[in-house]
Amino acid sequence: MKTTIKRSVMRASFALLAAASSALFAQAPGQASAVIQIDCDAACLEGHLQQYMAGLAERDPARVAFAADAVFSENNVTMPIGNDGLWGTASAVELPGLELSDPETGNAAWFGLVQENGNYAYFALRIKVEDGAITEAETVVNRLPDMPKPFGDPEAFQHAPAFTEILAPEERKPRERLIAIADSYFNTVELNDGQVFAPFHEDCGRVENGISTTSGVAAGGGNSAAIAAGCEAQFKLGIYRINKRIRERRYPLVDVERGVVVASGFFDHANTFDRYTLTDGREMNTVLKWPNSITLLEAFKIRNGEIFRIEAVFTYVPYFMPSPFAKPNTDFQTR
Amino acid sequence: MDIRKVSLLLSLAALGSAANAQDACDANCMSAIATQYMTDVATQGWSKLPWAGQVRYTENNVAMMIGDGFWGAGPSTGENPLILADEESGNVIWYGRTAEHGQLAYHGLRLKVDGGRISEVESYLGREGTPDLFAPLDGYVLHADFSAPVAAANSRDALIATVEGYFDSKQLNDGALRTEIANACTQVVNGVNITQGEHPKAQAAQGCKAQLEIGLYKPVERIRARRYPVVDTARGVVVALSLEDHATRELKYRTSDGKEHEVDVRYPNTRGRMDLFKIVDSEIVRIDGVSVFLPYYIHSLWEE
Repeated sequence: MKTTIKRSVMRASFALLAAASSALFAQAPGQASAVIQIDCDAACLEGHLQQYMAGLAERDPARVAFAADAVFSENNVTMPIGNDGLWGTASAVELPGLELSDPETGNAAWFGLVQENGNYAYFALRIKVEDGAITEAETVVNRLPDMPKPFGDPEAFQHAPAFTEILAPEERKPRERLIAIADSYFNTVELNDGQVFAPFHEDCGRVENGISTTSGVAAGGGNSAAIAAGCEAQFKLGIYRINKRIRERRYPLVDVERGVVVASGFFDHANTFDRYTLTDGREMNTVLKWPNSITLLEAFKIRNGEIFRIEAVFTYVPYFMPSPFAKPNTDFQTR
Repeated sequence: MDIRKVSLLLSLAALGSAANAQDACDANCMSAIATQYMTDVATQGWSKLPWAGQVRYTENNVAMMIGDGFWGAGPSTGENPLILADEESGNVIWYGRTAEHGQLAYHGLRLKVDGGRISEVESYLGREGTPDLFAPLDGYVLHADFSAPVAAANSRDALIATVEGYFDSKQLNDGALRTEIANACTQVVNGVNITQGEHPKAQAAQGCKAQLEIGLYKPVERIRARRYPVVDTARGVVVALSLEDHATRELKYRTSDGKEHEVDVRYPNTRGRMDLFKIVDSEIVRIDGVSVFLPYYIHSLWEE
């Protein structure tokens, strides 16, 4: 059962705040109200997701409750909602998708498969719902053909059941800790040299664009699982050293009961080198020789403070491309 | 000492003069700065270049810091470039081939030079391995026509209007020609000749003009953010920058000759382009371009 704050209580509190007009300016930084306003619970948010996907399947945004000033992006490019991008090409939505929600932030996410003009594409969506309407829709669409990247067999693709399982109270961690753990994953990926900052479950598994990249792959090919099996083992080898930085990290959705975090960000492959050495001495060559970035929406299942499952949809974008939803990062020099 | 070396020394002298005195930088000075830029890329010598107080840098339509991107990816100086400077606009382009960790790329570079100092850098790299066109570079040579003078020069405005008409003909291509194109006009994109030979577009129709006349480019939804930073009236060359949107709502389409065609990439995408147009007697005779595969509808960071 999701925790919700009764709407009548919230309204009463808000009315008291409004009456004392000077108090309106005494909120926590960046907050409109001192009371967390939950207008849309998990069922409501997931209803918006389902409505969005149904509208997408029909290429009919009129079936979706978009706010008048909604911001929509596809692979980090903002565009009108209507006849452009996937809204102009979608031909089917494959169900079930993985539906996740966070009533506290008003965000929800959908991971799964769609078809455009009859071709499969892996798709991830984040929406933000305010006052009964979608104000933000951020999408990542992974299509073929493209540069070398994972692309699993659509007919065989399944979501890990763990993502929707509710954790026993003793297995849960607070919101802040869940975000810290997801962030530690990115810290481990960044400049991956064998040092592991993240806590991994011994059976941790990761699916990227519909294919496991941590297990079940024979030697050879471009899948990381062919080099080493398991999340932690791969990072201890330093397989992912090409990631110069994991940039514009955001954590818009946390589900404490399920132990789920949904993150957004970019992996920058600067390719200042095209060869590197794993911690076991093996020599590696980068697949691409030139700078590129990948944009992603990634879901983490965290149980007992350990990362257990990861599901991501990502695709290539031009190197260092920014997100329209992230604040510009002026904290680092990028030379 | 050969002529090229003499020319380079003279150019470097012009560069030093411009950088020190910050006086007017003529075409020779601008060309020298472009040459120096590509030389310093290879040695990571960014600090040697004459930068303006505020500099904008984009690579494939993404803003970043000098030193990142191509600068950091084991770049080479490049070879056999065409350098065209436009004193009126203050822009100079370097157009040729470079490499990253030894992997060759088609490279179009624009520098804006104010008083001998670089204030803008706009770079397009057509790289191997994307869904866009790419030809092995061994056989590629930019046609000598692009550096040859024309007998009768057209005005700057007339040359730009000719290219505008080309873009107007290509977007939503319905067969109507809105510019003058020579029957023998050829087009090369990232080293691929798409108007002659084996390429599927060339098989559909030979020549730039014939392809537009049958509506071969119908899937091009729009060509936007068009800019013309360099116009060389003596050579009859216009350098055009644009973003070409392929909405890809349909995978198949029919040309006016009744034949059915399939789009080259089966999902929405945009191509960032730097194209050189050679115009003789008011007709487009050659087009050579760098094309970059970009997310659909990406916004121009320079101008819409």
